[in-house]
Amino acid sequence: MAKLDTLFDVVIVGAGVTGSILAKRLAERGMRVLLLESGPGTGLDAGGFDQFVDRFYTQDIKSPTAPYPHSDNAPIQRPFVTYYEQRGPMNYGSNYVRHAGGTTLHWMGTCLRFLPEDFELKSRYGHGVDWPISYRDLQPYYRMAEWELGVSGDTDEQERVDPNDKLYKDDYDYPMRKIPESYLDLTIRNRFEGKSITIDGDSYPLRTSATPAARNSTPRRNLTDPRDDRPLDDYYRPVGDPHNPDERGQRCQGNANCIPICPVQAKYTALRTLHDATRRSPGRVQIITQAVASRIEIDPISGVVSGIRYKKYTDPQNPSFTEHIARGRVYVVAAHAIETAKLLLASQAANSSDMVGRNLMDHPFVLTWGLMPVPVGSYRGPGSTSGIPMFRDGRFRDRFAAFRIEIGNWGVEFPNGTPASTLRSLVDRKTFNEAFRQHPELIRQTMHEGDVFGDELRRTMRYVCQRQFRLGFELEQLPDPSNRVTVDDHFLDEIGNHRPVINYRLDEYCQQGIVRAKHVSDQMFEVLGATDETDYNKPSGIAANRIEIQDRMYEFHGAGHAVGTHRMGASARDSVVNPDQRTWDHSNLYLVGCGNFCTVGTANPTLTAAALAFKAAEAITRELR
Amino acid sequence: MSSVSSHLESFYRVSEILTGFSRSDLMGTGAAPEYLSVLTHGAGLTNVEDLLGKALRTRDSERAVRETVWPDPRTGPLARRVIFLWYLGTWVPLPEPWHEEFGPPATPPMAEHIVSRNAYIEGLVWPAIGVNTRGAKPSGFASWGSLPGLSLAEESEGAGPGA
Amino acid sequence: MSSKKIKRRVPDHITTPFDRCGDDAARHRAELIRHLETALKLEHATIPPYICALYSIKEGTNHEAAMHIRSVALEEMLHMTLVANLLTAVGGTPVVTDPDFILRHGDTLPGIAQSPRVDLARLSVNALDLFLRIESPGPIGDPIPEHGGYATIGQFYASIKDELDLYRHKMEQGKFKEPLFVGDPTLQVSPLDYYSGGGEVVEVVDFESARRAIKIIVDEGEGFDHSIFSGDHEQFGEQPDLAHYYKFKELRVGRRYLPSDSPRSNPTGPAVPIDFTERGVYQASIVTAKVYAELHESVLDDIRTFQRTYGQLLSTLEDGFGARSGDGTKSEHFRRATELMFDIRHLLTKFMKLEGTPIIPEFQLGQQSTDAP
Repeated sequence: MAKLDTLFDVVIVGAGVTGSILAKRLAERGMRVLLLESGPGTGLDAGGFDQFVDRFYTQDIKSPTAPYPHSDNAPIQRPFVTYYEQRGPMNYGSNYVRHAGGTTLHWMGTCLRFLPEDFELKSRYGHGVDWPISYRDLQPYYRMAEWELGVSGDTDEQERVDPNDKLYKDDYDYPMRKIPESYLDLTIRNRFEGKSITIDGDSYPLRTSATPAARNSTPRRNLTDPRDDRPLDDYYRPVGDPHNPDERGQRCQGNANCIPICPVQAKYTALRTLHDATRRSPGRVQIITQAVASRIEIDPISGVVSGIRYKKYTDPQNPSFTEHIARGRVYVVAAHAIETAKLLLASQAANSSDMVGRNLMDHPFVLTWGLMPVPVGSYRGPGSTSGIPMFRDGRFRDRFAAFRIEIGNWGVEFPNGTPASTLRSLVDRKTFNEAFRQHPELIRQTMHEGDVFGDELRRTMRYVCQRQFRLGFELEQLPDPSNRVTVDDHFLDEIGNHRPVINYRLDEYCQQGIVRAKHVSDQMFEVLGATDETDYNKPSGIAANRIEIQDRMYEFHGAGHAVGTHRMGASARDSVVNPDQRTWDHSNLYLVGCGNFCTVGTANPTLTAAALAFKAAEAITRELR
Repeated sequence: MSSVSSHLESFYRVSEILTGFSRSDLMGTGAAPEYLSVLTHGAGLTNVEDLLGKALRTRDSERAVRETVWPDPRTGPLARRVIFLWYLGTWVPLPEPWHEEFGPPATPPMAEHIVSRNAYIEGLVWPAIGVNTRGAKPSGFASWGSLPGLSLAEESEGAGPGA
Repeated sequence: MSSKKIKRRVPDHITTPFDRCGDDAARHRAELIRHLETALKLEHATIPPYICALYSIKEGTNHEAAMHIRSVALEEMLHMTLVANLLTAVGGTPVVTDPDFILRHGDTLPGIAQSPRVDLARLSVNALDLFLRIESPGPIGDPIPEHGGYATIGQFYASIKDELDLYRHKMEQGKFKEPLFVGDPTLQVSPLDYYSGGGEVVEVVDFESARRAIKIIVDEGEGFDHSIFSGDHEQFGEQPDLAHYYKFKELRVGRRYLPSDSPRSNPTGPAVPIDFTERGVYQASIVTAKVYAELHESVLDDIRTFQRTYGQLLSTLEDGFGARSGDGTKSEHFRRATELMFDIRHLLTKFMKLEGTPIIPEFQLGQQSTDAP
């Protein structure tokens, strides 16, 4: 076995958003950092990102992972390929990306903060657990994360949702103004004006709210950069393609393609932070790609981590590798909630609480869709620019799961494959129906009868597609110890690392949330005057799960928001890391990422994970100084 | 190939009728030779010639397409493939029964695939619904805040989102 | 001290139009306005040839060339906006919709004697040679043509810089009473209105901001203090930005500059692959009368749409320059202009791809569109 003869200050497993932030922060403070990335590093090289874009154009199925070449030696769950060993009773529907840059390569960029109540679910509503830290504790790190990711948003507007939350410090604002709302958002907002809906006898006034996003917009001026408390001379300078020195932060151009890839890099990816980390601290950050951590080596006497064993491969399609050990003073695993849990379990590390791998959560994602009564200009702009916030928090949380409603700007692409499926059904009804019977996983039957060509086809396509829209309900799921990732030596990947074995289900609380979400949707469609085409009786093969609740069928998808598998806590008995993100069991082992979450709330988790990474960077800096 | 390219003009004329797009729109994709070649590979030259011949036999080609080509079990599925090629840049396989009945023996069914990078970028499904190709043809910052194809003046005349 | 002559860039023995204004402040300002009107036209004149070359590149090929030309084109758009700000600041009004505002294919640069003919063409060796000539500022000391104008672009901008220094000097001496920057500051285009990858807009309200605006225009074009780089990347860790001339030089020679290369020699760094054949470039040419006559009617429709759209773009920009900031109208005009710029890009790409006869249409305002060339 070869050994890397260097002793680093910090060895980080995973070059996604949290690992990159740590590397950058720690290197800025003079530490020598090694990043081990299991996947390829295509995006790190000049021109690498363009390879992703090229690949996107020619892939037959434009799934979220389509632009990013797959590595058999660092596999993921993806369409038609099994990586998870699903033990049921339900399927876990979310995946991630194993590439330098991680899943931010294809995220939407949504950057909502958690609400203060989300940290106190148990004491306020009697469900789940409380976090060992409060919103106030995390607030300064949220500011840093928002500047690192380059978030566009308006604090005024966010705060209006619930002024009591006091989400922001008085003089704070996002570095860029909010991303303008879509015409669909504005149409919905206008039709909501003055209207309410009723759920369980309670009335909820309808409203929409623009969504903060890590996407370049119009820069603000005269602000203070919270990462180093440095006042800006003038305007904030957006960041774009890190490899193009002339590219002074391309503003969003409306490529309408954030997922799977923003071709101009107006949307944040961790490649930016990685680039900063290596360029601004020359010689202090080393990245080894195609290096899969396979075991955390632990000194049996002292309990401290003595090294990370990893398998280095040269060809992503060839299962040959060499083994190495990386050594540092401090170790951080930032490999994604599922991969981190897997590595800890395989190494029998950090698990005195028996909580490693448990409490796996996601945002079960329920979709409803249909046609607006007027054209709304679908398929333009970022995938979502507004949400409907009323059900993110409220007294109802003692009875059913909270949810955030996302307004989708791209027709019914997800989950129905429009507008291609609309076209197929209009042009070739007969064959389409046959294909649907044979391969329901490819397409969902749409409502548009027809057998048309030429001008009539154009007219009908335009009429239908200009009205298509969908709502997405992201539900809070409670921590459930039986929802878990485990490892089993029977289930290994090409180079002998474990594939995740997953048990997953939705509890009654979440199911009750799904029922309410559909009630909410039904009433909203009525207020909007929209034709509801949602029909869960016609199955979609791409949905993770079909579920019957109170004699009605529902479908839900994964939201890509895996959290909870190595949660933070106030006590070593029921948690894996302490509020510094340090493992209770090993004094020099830290974990960062969404696995540290105690509950999932209703905010997309990346921003909170990034904030926690800034917090961990402070703890590690204190320790190493 | 020369027999294919000699059909290019006919292919354009039939494609104009089937897609509802102008000659300039079709030529401006730069993709016609590629599409005609894929169609010929997938369905056989004889069938393609049959499609083009039937459509252009009379002066009223639109009517010929509607009454003869579109309902015909041999040329109908081909005409639909022409639309898929132009709109999606994708070869959509012909149904198995079609291959059994009309497919040339030397032409095994061709699997579904994107014809080329350019074919994706120039897919006409996007302009057909009034927008730009996703991921390839940006429309400009904040363009998504108004309806496509409306000038400022038109919007202010009451066609706004409140209407 | 007050009688000390200021050092000017244009040699003293050359009489510039400003020299003929004597001590009449109003005449000086009027002359500066005329100069800036020409500068507006000049900055715009480079955009059509650059974007024709840019959009002639086949997607997925010639990455370096596309990146360089695109960044130059974006910076030219910024320069045009900076000139508009300068013009507004001294009390002028940016007008970009006059029929002769747009150069015709083969015209020379306005007011510049030693100007190349500006052709609209696909990316080629000839196109790069033209771009090098456009971006080469030329000597400041050449004699000024008798019928007006300047010898070179370098001389033109040097003269404007001299005039700003002179005016400031005369005000400090008390010889000029009337301030130069009499324009309405709420007419200035700010980064809140216009933002692109081309850099930041400077709001011009005084001599200092005017100096910065001119400096960006000149430095990005010809280089900073005769170095290869444009010198506007002060932020730590950023790669220096090449001035336009040197970007085109890299493409023309097919090599990257090394930090050690001299501005007077060719780049000696790693090879820059560039493919001018039909594998990398759509083989489009300007529409001649002969080609025009043979184009399909629907293509002629598209050419008319293109020219109408370009006209809309210019009038939207003009409206944007003339609108007050604050109530959102100004930024709305620039938002709309960005949308139209993308429409122009997609239409040009369509012409470049036109199967069988790839074309480059004449840039002209919509109202003349019915004329065949």
